[in-house]
Amino acid sequence: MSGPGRLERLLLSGLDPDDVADIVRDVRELARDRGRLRRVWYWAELVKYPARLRAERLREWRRERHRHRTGGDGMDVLWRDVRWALRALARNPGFTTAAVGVLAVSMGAGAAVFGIVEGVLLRPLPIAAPERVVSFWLEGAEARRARMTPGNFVDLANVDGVFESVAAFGARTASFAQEGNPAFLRGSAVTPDYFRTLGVAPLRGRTFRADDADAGRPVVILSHHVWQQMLGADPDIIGRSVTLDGASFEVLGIAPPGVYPTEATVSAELPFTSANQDFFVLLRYGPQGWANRRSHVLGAIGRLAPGVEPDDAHARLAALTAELQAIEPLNRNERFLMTSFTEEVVGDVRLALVTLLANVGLVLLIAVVNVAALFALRAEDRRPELAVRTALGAPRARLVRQVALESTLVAIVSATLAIVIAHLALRAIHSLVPYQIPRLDTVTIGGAPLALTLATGFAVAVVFGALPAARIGRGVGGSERSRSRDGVGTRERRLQATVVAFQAALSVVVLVGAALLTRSYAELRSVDAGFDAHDAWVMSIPTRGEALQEITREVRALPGVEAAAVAYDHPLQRNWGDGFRIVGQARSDTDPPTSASLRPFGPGYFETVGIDVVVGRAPDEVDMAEEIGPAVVNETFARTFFPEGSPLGRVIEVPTAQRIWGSDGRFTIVGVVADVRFLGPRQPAGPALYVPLSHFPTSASTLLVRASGDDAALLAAVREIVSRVDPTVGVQEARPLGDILDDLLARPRFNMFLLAAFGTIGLALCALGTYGLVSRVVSTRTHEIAVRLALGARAPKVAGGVLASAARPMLAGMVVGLLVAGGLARTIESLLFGVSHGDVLSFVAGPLLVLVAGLLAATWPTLRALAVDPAVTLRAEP
Amino acid sequence: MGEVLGGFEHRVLLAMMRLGSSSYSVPIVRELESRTGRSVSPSAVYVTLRRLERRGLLTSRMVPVASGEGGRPRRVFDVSPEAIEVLREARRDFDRLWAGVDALDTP
Repeated sequence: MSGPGRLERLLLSGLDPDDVADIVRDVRELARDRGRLRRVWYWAELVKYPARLRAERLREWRRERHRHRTGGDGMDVLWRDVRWALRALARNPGFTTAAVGVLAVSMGAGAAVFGIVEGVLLRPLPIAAPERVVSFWLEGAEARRARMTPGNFVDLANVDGVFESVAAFGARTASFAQEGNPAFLRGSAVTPDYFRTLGVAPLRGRTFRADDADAGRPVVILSHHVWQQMLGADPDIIGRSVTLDGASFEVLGIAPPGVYPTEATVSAELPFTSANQDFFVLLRYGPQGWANRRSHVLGAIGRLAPGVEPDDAHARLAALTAELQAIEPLNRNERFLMTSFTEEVVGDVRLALVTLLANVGLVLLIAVVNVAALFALRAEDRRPELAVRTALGAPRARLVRQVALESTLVAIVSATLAIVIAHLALRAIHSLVPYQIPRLDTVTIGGAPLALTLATGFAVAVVFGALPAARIGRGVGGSERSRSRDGVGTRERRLQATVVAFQAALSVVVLVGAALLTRSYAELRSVDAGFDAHDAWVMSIPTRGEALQEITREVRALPGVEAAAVAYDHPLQRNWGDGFRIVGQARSDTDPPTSASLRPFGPGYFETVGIDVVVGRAPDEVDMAEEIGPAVVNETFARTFFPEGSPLGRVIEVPTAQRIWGSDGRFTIVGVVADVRFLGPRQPAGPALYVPLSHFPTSASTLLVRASGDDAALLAAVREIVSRVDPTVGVQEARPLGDILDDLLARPRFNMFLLAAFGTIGLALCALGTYGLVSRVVSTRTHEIAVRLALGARAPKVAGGVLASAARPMLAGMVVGLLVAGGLARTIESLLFGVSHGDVLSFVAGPLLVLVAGLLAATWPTLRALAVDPAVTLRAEP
Repeated sequence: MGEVLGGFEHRVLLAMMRLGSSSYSVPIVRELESRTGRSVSPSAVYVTLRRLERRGLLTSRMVPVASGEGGRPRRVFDVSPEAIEVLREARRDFDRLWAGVDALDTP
């Protein structure tokens, strides 16, 4: 049989030549069935072909145009596409799990940390016009900040025109009488303008007025949570009485939950949570008390008057400083310092939180790159499928939409998981630092942080999901057929290598940061705080005199108790700084005022707390009974004030003790003890002066107990003794000294822990990316590997080649990462302790981890490739 | 997948299923004519085959033929798994629709 003739070719000229031959052959064959009319039928049928083809094309074109205009055939097409996308995702569980996992973890972590940053740093304080509120300090020698003295606060309050109001406050504790156990409350004694200055309105009742101070009747403002938890939110509480420290106070109002400054803010000893403020009473001093310019015991805040700029206030304070320095010898080396209140509340944690946020950003970036690469690779895998569908007339828009739908589904599932992860993360962070980060207690995941993080995740998934599809839809045609076996994957290999390099760089940055903070935390932990926190308990017992001595005696006799002593407070309290005079020492006016941390203690204190006596002795009860009491100083005190001679036997005078407590106020130095880092391991010790508690009859007192054995039994026994000896008080707070030390390390621990967590996530993502790359390399080179193995290449050499393909981009990325980390480490210098920002160990450990994780991730696919029998592989090749 | 088959497409696919593996227009035309008793245009079958292929319901490939037929390879078509799914769906729809339509029961 002959091929198509000239006329037939002319008739069928618009068709594929292969098809023309088929058609002619088929129609001829069928024509044979048609009997006499076969020649007519033959030509009649042939003529129909071009006509039908034209009609078919026209139909296609119309359908296409309709789809294009309406964006599909409505909801059922969308639904069909959704099911198509779900099925496509289910077919590839590896991809789906990786994409969802990466997105969910990074979005979840991002939302949690962003939520914290928003709640702690960005959200305005819950006070009126917080930017107008300022804090006041006295700045002494070496720019050392101190709290205000009552006398200097009066100076400040007398300044006209700059401040709308100023207020002072000091810490108070009180036992709150209720049925059963008396509760231990922390609160503040404040001047009447306190709430007005802060700009806080009472929830109920009213705040203090100037005449409350004059009236002399005891009044109290209770915190929201005390009202809620201890008074059952009694709606008629205003005007009723509550009993604090055995005295009756009339409840004036209820303060809203919020941020209240404490005098301890000077050293960040106590966090700024509302939980620290259980009550507010009026600060009362006699005329002598208000004239005191020695005792740095008050916190002070102010509100700028309308129209006054902070610069005006600074200038006015500078003038006041100059005035005082001229007339007040005690203020000769001190100047007024004014800072932003908001800054005081959050400034301390800003760098840490911003660092965290930056790390979350980096991890998010790693995740974005990872997810984008995952989608791009998946798109590459589907090129043939999509290309064929495009060639066969599937509208591109529809293909893009289907692929975009897939990535949208991934984003929706990831976002849902991310919300759960964010909540879990926040809860974990909360348990890590229950109250050491200001305002952390008010942070919730919601609103802007969540929306922003989820939007980012969505944008990433949808854009990166659909972009490759759009590109593929456009760039198809004859080229698909020419994609040879070895050609497959060159592009994706390059893409994947870039991804690995990028991830390695970012991971190195995060890990170096984590390593620096971990090292720094280890340094902090290893610092000798100057005392032995092990087995030591701190119990707050607000009683004094004979009762206190009796309690101490009985506790000492308890089984397991090695030592017990009373003191004003435990060794990790700043207490207060006070001025003193060294008797017999001539001082000129230009010498800096002598001032030290004043630390009232009882017999047995140094032994109980484990503070070493360096020179002289620790005073006993006999010493304490002397008319001129014994004093002990720390090494810094001895070095600072007795640079040449021994301090032993020298007498010092503490005027505050004379004026306020009416004692003699003179003490003989009998010993020098080791420095204790009162403010935690981070801050070196200042001069400290230990004086007998019996000469400072304050109501606050702390029982320190060193005991081994059962903690619960010890506490129960002490409680029993206290309630028997003085039924009006209880053991207010009992904590191991180690826990208190731990609290001081909570922020560095928080920084270290979170950065390490992000480092781990980054590392995992980096490993995932490397695994992807090597799998890719292996799958596209299976044939080549098989040939080489078949030809006798040694497996280790082949494996080395594969691993090198992963190691090269990783090394390149690590170099870049090290450079970036080197630049960034400087910015977190103030978070570091005992470790330089160029710490070699950290800069080696970070990249090493990345390298190990990457190579481990690369090993599995490499081994898989080598395990394949070359014969099987080669036979399977088409 | 909710693909809707046209009447002729439906018939062509069923004819191909009856014919078994890899077929081309000639046997399909003959099968359709012998089963329906109506004459069928090969051009209609050709256009339909290419359309079904475009929709992924058929796959085609070139196969060598005996030298008696001119020696040139020819295109043959196979029914894709998707098409079988679509046919099943169509049948289910028809069965459901027919159920209970007594008046039209064949005598």
